[in-house]
Formats: sequence, structure tokens, C-alpha cells
Amino acid sequence: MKVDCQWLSTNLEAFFSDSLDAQQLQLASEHLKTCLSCRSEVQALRDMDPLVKQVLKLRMTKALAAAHAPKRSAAFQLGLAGTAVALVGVLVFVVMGRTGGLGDLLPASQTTLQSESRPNSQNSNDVKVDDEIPALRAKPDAPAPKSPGIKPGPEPPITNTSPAFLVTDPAGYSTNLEDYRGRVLVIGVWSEDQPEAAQNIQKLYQAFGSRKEVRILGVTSRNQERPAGTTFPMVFNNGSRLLDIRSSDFAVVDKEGNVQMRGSLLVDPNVLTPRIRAKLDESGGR
Amino acid sequence: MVAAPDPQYDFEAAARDCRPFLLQIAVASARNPVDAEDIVQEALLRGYRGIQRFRGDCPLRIWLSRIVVRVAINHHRSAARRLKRWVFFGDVEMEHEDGTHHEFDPPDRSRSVPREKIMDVDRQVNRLPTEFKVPLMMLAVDGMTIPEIAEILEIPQGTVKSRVFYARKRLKSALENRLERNRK
Repeated sequence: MKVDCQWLSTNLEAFFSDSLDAQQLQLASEHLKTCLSCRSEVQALRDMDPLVKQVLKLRMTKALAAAHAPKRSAAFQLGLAGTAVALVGVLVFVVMGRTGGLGDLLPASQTTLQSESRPNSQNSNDVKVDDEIPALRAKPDAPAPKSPGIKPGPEPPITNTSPAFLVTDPAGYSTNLEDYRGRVLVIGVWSEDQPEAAQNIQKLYQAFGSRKEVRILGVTSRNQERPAGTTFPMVFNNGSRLLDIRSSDFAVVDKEGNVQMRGSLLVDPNVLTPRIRAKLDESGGR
Repeated sequence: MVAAPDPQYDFEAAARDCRPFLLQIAVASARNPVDAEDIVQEALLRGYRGIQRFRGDCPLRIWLSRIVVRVAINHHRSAARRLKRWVFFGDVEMEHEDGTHHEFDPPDRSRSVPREKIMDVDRQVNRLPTEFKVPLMMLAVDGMTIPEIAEILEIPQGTVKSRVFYARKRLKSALENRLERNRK
């Protein structure tokens, strides 16, 4: 029988399990004396034992430390667990609030409340809305529910006392005309049943969206899904008169906040775009 | 055949005697040493309740060790333990009731292997399959022999040796792999 590296490698288990017979053991020992690689292999395996001993020692220390730790009362444990549950609750609340999930749970009653609380002293023809806007600029009213199970509440009535222009983006931030001072604003109003209007707003956005002093807005009456293939900034009307722009119409507002142009979105974009371009150039929307 | 134990067997005294040994067995078989004390407690309770089944064909400490190993392996799966761990995860340092301060893991100047390496080995040991890990760890217990391990685990001695061999082999290659990965 020839004992070489290969033989030892295949019989290493038997070597360690003492199941080699006397003659095999003798030959193996002789091979180990001469072969460095086999010897270091065997030694490396044997070196595991002191390491494992150290691990056991480390674990014993931990076990004893844990055993001698002061026991906390059941009331303390309960309190700690209760705190954890409360924290999780608060987190869920905050996260839901951020994503608008809570808005789904609070239907339009809030919206109605807010619109009713608006001051009635405003002149109906006064476009300036600066005084009342700051109070309304906070987080939005309840956005329209996204889940099909919950029916949207009645939309707030728009009266002559409503602000001239107040929109809210999907993230919940409201803007009024004041925020667009110094920019030429193109407002297009569309709704779900007029996909052409949305497509035309998209074309306008592609044409003029890169102009630094121009802002394009696609407005809907309520918060809703973005139509496929569009990228224009979407906002929804937050109970304002929306500068009396009707659905599928557009308006161009100059840097001072005056409506310079009105028209329908439901026309050939090849006609619409040059018209608006001319107006933008005229109004300084570069 | 050893005679059946006296019903008046002083279980408490016997349990007190072999408790340190059982704690080592628990540490060797448990996944987390922090649970070892609970495991011994649970095993002693079970042993006390089932002492009628102790046939006396092996030393009591071996019989109790068998229970410890079973409890330790099942303990990891217990949901109650997880909850407890979750609440207690902050325990790193602790103060005894008598006011003495106890550091979680007092540094041992005598050992030559750095602590990080030992902790790494500890992690790798925990990754071994239970049937390999338990005999390997038990062999590290002072005074523990292969026949004793075979008795506790109720497997042949040859199997214990073979499992210890494969445990060493796997541990070695795991540590080597880690070393290589660290070099990269």
C-alpha cells in the first residue's frame, strides 16, 4: 500500500476518527514527517480546537454575564413593549400622512370646511389674492381617494369669493399666482374625458418646458392619475375660480399675473404651438 | 443494570452539583450564550418533572445534558424567546443588585488571539449545521471526552469523531474564505 498525499487526503477523516488500522497509521505518520503540505493541512485542522476553546470561553463569559444581570420587573417589560408599540403606531401615522394615505381616510368634509372658512369680504372682480393665500398655503385638503372602494366626496362649491387661482401638486404643496410672478405661466385645464387636451398640454410642455422663464401647468379639477406618456407638471384645482379657465381651455399669464391670452386646447397642436410661442416671446418668456 | 433511582432521590442537590457542567453544555449547544441560563433552568425543570423516566443507566448529569441539548436546539425556535431578546437587546453592560459593576465581556490579557478573530470564529461556528457544531463545541468543554459526547448525543463514538472532523474542516475553510475575501 502506498501512502501519498492523495491517499491521506481521502483518508483524512479516518485519520482523525482513529479508524485507520495500525499499519495504515504507521505509514500515514511516516508520510506526514516527510510531506510539508500534508503536515500543515493536518496541523491547520488541529489548530481549530484552541480557537473553538476560546469561542467557548467567550460564550461562557457572556452566559454568566447574562445570568447575573439584574432581572427587570414584568411591569418594566410591559412598559417597554408598550412604548415600542406606540412608537410603531406614530411612525405608521406619519408615513401614511406623508404619502397621502390618511387623506383617503379623511374624505372631503375637510375640503368643504376650508372653503367655507374663507373670508367673504373679497371683491369678486379682484384678482389679487395675496392677503388670504398664506392661510391656505399649508398642506392640501384631502386629495381625492385613489382606491376605487371609496367614493370621492362632493367637490367644494366654487363661488365668486373663491380665490382666483390656487392649485395643489400631488405632493400636497399649494401654489397661487403670486408664486409665478416673474414667470410666464401657461395653464392648461384638462379632465379624464378629454385625453386630447392632456396630450396637447404635453406637447406644449415639450415645446416650452425648457424655457427658464416659462412654467407649464396641467390642471385638473381633482387629484387624479397621470395620463400615460405625459410628463408635464400636474396640479389640481384647490377650490379656486382658476382664472375662469374652463375645461380643455388654456390661458397664458404674464409675469405680472395678468391673463394675456385664452383659448381652447382642443385644436391642432401645429396651430396651437406657434400661437403660444408668439405670445410667450411677446411676454418675455424666454 | 443499575437499580431504578430512589423516589426520594435528592434531585435538587444533584442538580446543584452538575449545574456548572450543564451550563457549559448549554453554551456549547445554544445559538446564543445569553440564553444558556434559561436553557439550563428549563432543562432542570423538565428533568425534575420527568425524573420517573430516568432509568439510572447513565450518570444523572449525562441524562440532564441530553435534556439541555434538546432544549437548547428547540429554544432557538421559540417565539417567546425572540420577543424577550427584542426587548432586552440593549443589555451590553449591567449593574448588579449589590451595586457592583460588571462589564459585559471583561478583556482577557492572557489570550494571544485577538478578540475580533475570536468573534469571527464564533460567528462561523454558529453557521455550522447543528449536528456538526454541537460535538465540536462540546469537545472544547474541559474534561469532556468523545465517549461522553457520544452518550449525551446518543450517537456512536465513531460518528462523533467524524462529525468533529467535518466541523473542523468546514470551520477551517470558512475562516480561510473570509480571510481571502478580506484580502480582496
